[in-house]
Amino acid sequence: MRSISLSLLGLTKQDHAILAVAIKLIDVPGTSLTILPEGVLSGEVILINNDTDAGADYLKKKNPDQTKIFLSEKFMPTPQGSRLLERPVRIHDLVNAFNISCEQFKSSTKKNIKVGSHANISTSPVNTNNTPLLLHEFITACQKNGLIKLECPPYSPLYINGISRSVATRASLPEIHIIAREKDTLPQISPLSAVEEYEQASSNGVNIYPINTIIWHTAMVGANGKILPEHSHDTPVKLKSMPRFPREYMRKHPEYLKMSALLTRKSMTVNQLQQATQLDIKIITDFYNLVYALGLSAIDEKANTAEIYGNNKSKKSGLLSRLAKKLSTTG
Amino acid sequence: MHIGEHKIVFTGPVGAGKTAAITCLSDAPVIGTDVAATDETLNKKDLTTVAMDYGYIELEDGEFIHLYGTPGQDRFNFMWDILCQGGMGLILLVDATSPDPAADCEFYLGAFDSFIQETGAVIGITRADISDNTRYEEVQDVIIEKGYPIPVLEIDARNEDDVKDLVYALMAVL
Repeated sequence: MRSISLSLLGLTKQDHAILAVAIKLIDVPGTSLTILPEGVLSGEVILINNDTDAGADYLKKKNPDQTKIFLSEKFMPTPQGSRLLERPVRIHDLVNAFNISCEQFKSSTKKNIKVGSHANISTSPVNTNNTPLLLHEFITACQKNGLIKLECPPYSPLYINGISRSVATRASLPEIHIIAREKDTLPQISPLSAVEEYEQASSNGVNIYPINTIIWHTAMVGANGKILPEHSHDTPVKLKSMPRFPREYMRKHPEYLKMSALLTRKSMTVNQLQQATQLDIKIITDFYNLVYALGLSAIDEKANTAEIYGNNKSKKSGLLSRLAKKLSTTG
Repeated sequence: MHIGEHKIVFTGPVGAGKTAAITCLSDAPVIGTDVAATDETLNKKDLTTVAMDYGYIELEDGEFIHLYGTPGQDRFNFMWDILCQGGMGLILLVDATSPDPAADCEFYLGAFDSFIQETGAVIGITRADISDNTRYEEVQDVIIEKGYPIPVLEIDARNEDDVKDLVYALMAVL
């Protein structure tokens, strides 16, 4: 077990409350976080309240071996290798920042830390990328009619407009794939103050995409089995309508139609879909994330999540697979 | 003809592309019952199907999937029940350039309701490339109202890959 040391600088009571929750959700196998006592700033990771003088001063210090996570009221440029979380800090973002830091230090040699009270955290396996987080931000923007700036240097920022359901960016679609695929750099998310700011950002010949296009492309990257924040593999959903799958997507994922048909008939969880289809849980999770992000599914709290589904192979399934084989070999 | 064996039924209004779609899939030339159109159909095409179209797909083990196309004019609807007996599923083709494709869709979904409930269906919207883009949404609204899990694809009924996609989609919902 690799123990990674964490220093704290100038945190508020609320920051401590968020930290207490976030630290329990860290999800990197073979690592644990050790919180160092107040005033010991030599941890491999340091969480800094940038809205204090001490925190602002620490921004100027150069320590390439230390990962800095700044909490700040306002967006500001941060040194390379550090992260900024704007207030109000969300637990999910802090967990992600910790996960990335733990992944980075996991294989490195332990620093010689002489002091420390211990808060060892056991963790479960995950190897996630930015896809669930990006999808979550798109959903939030649409649900709240929000205006959000999402940055993942060195790529052009994405300006998300939940009102017009569009995204303005100089980033190309392949670059958006790269942002979604990224595991080590957490995008910085900041609200835009007004529509004018979005319009200003999107006025200089940038690409304007419908948000659904960006959702399709982000979901296409896949989330490696990781479901959307605030959802679980036991969240029951039902489809409101059959998705309008782009043709190339349908050819790539014919199983999505099967799952769509099942979810149009009745509400099911990811786990129940897995029982019913025997598909890889990663495929099912990607499908779940996609249709929810597109607004095609809705959570159905009344559904029976305890019902167990068998792999109901009908007599005709053999015939259908022979037909599929025949169609794929002709033409 | 093996009416009692595995079969897929193609239906839809006159000129929606049923004969063309079956021709794309069939291992043998389609047996049609086309006659010269004499009624309002003449506005759409010279020949029209009055009883049915028939083609088939032969599988590796010698088994057949029969492909039946219903006549387009609803005065021949007495044929529809006969053709559906023992069918695997329904492919409904709707012409996007018709005056009201959503109404066409609603009509055929109603007419084949019990067959769809027992099996499954898929909708192909043809000529979508030369029609208003809102057609898809209108057809989708009809389906939502029905509560069916029916995939809708925009296709060219003369294109083999497009028609195969319809069959794949149908297989997914069966």
